[in-house]
Amino acid sequence: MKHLTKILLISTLLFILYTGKAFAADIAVSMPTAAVVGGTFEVLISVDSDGTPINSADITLHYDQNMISFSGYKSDGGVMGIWIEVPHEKNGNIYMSGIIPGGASGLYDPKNLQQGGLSAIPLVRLLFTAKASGAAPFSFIKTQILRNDGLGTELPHGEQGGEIKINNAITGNEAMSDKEKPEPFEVTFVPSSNLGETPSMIIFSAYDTGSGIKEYKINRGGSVWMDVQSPYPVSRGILPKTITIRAFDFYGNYTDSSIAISGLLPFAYLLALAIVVLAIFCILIYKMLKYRK
Amino acid sequence: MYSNFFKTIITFLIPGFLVFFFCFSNTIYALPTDPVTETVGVYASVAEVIVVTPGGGNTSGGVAIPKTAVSFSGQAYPYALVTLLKQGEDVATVTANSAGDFNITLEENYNSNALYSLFAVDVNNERSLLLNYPIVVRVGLLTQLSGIRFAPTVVADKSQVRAGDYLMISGYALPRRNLSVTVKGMSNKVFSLISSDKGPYKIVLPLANLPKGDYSVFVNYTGDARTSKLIRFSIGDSNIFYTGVLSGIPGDCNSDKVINLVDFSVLAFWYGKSNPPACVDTNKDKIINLVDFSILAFYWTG
Repeated sequence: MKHLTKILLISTLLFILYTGKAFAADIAVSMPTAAVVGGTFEVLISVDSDGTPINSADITLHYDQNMISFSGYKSDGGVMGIWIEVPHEKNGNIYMSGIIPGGASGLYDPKNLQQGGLSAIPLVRLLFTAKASGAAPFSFIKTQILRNDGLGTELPHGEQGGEIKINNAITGNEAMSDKEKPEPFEVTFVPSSNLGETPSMIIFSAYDTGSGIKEYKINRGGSVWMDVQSPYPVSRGILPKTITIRAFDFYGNYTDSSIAISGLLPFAYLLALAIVVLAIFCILIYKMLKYRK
Repeated sequence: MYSNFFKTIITFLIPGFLVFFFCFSNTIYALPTDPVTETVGVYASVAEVIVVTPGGGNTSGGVAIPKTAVSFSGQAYPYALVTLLKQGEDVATVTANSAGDFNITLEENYNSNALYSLFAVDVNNERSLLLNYPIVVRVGLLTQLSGIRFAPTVVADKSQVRAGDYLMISGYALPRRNLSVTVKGMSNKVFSLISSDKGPYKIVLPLANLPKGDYSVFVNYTGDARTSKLIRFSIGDSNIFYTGVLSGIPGDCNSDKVINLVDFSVLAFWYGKSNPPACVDTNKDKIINLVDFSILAFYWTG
């Protein structure tokens, strides 16, 4: 009877353990086990897709904003090539969505031969700064992962949050400091004639290795800088104009890029028009003076 | 007697159930089990050393440093141009041999997450889909990624087929391979053929029994999970042939046969807006959401 009880117990345990893993795929956060107050640390969001190619994700990550603050992301830290929404913070949540053009099945690592050389897909590395001591948990609020199948099919997956222990700093801290400007970037004008119902627009995408791009501002002449996102609709006026886009990283460093958008009338026509208007004006003045005499 | 009966049940049936459960659990859970026949292997080895001599001069007394490099090998199409990109930038292009085999080696530095992409262009100038391989590049080792295989290229002659008429599908594949052409939509059909000795294939699909509606067609090596581009077409009242103006690629609103940041930006402009244009709404559900971006990412050419 003792033998039978053993079999029953082992069977039940195995069954529970196995059924706990209901999905072949997982999204997870990973980070160092501990950090110190004032220090900056990385949080990696990765997807183990079990070899299935994926190409897009929409993620909302929750963190304790009393314990830590969001400090940016590493542009070269993951495979998320193009952001629909760059990682940004609102009320203790980090919102982000983007695509991996061409998709990815995993990270190929020759040292990880147990898994056939394939590790989880590193999507993005977020940067946080520790504010207070204690345990700081991370959990997913929303995760949508789509397969690279040309149809946008959802990949069923599980979610694994995480936790970091924050200790009081004994001496100094490891706060990150990004003093580098974002890399030079281009602003491209795309006329509406190429795009059917879509208006003319400018498109831009800057890159910052230190802390990532936080925001863009636009200047259309004068001293006013307004928030802007790519793409930005721009109507072509009669006169040519210059538009400047300023890309900021999370530490306030910025890089400018300008584009001159030609007007609907070429410069020669404008010059000729100005000469004609001036000539008519002069003739009118001359006639008026002659009439008075 | 009853005690023996229960003893038998527990001794034989429970282990039996466990064996069944572990063997067929994928069926029970319906987990994704795509049959992937491309087996990409990754391994690293010291392949070459560079002898560095302080101050130059002759090599005696120099220090041997293993070279850090990555290499990609696999199969595309006969005489295809295979291009390697690193972080989206072109870094090398090679020509595949008559069997479609290619090999690219690139000197590198350590990188914990280098994103390499490959695409192939067949001799008819048709481009494959992009394949991505994020790799950990280890110092002093030649990291080799082998077994890469592109899906066949594919071209259709019509964007709309008159009911009862034919659709011609052609492209390039590896020589003498079994191919499957799958039509999906209101009704599904699969056709089989073998590519020719030099790689090209062509098939005329009879669509007589298919009802009017929207369809897609793709080609793959029989049994392979990796498919070609999906070509969308409809069955209607008349034939509409593809011209240079229409590319047939979802999301290619400027019809330049290229899916890049411009097309992404057009999609981003309409993200969350009502009444998007048909060319932007890649899955025709009148909503621009992550699914449309995913479809665009699938067709990405850069």
